[in-house]
Amino acid sequence: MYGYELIQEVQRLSGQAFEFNEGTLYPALHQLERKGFLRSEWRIAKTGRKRKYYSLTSKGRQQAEREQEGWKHFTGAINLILTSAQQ
Amino acid sequence: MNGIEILLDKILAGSRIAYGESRRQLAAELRSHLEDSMNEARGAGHDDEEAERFAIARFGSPEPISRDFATVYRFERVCFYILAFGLLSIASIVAVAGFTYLVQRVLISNLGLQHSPWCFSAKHLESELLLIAGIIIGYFGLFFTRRLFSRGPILKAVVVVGIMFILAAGLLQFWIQHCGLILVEAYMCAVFIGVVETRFRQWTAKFLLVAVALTAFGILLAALYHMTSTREIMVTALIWSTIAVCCCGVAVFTSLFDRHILSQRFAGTSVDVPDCYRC
Repeated sequence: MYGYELIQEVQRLSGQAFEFNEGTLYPALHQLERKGFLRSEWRIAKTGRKRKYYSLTSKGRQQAEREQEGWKHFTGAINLILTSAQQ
Repeated sequence: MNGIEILLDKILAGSRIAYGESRRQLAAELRSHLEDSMNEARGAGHDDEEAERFAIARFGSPEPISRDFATVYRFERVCFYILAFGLLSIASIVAVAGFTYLVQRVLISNLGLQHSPWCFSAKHLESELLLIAGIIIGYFGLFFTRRLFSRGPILKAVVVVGIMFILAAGLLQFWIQHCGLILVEAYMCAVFIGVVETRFRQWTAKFLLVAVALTAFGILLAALYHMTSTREIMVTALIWSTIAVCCCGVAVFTSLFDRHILSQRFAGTSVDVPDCYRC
């Protein structure tokens, strides 16, 4: 995926819930690439335009799984608190 | 320059990415995004001007973006500064030391001071080289260190480089007597040159001020080191004024380097995206 596509996808999947300045995505992508979580390559899109595509590395995939676990744990804990508070 | 180019220019200038290839790739990537965004707006029925405004508004303010990029690319920037610092220091030390030695030889023999063998003794030449190296390293140290700070850069650079010099002087003094003191003297001169360079605009004034002050400082040190004969003091004054003029020459060269290489490298306008990255 390239940056613009990534933003469109995030907005689509979240039902337009996330509104952020698009430019802030790129420093984050570059940081993740430098940490070895992402790799990038320039490719020619179907439209004939050159774009920089990002993909997860195996290290990135492992990190994403860890983050996902952490997020599930966190939201689970918050849900427990909210449920207890309602009761 | 259109709005998109102005935005890219601001982001790249603020990002201070040292290497041209990284800058070109980043410019191409961001430009591609903005063009996609404009195409989307055009598809929704906006004209070119509105589409550009729409893309720029969605992209966000350039300051936080460039600040984030500056953080991401900090390591390369520091490496570039260290490399430039090393190369400039070595080249300047060789040039100034060589020129000072040459002037010393020519002037002393022409002024009938050839009976001053002390100034060509190994100990004196060693001290002279250490003094020159100290002034130049101190000067470039201040020049590059002040770029790392956005608030109070000169004062902070003087303190940071000063601490390093004090540590180095302490070690050197322990190792070879008197050498530590030379390093402290050299740093004082470097700070003076650095301050004069930033405070005064005219190069003639800078040259004169540095030459007079450093020569006076050299004579004062000669008196402190118990050099009493007029000949010795005259030679010392000559050496110090040569070093001072050479250091001003280094400052002029550094200013040109700053204007034509460093500023260009870190300015947004230097972004020239080759065709291979163009959409």
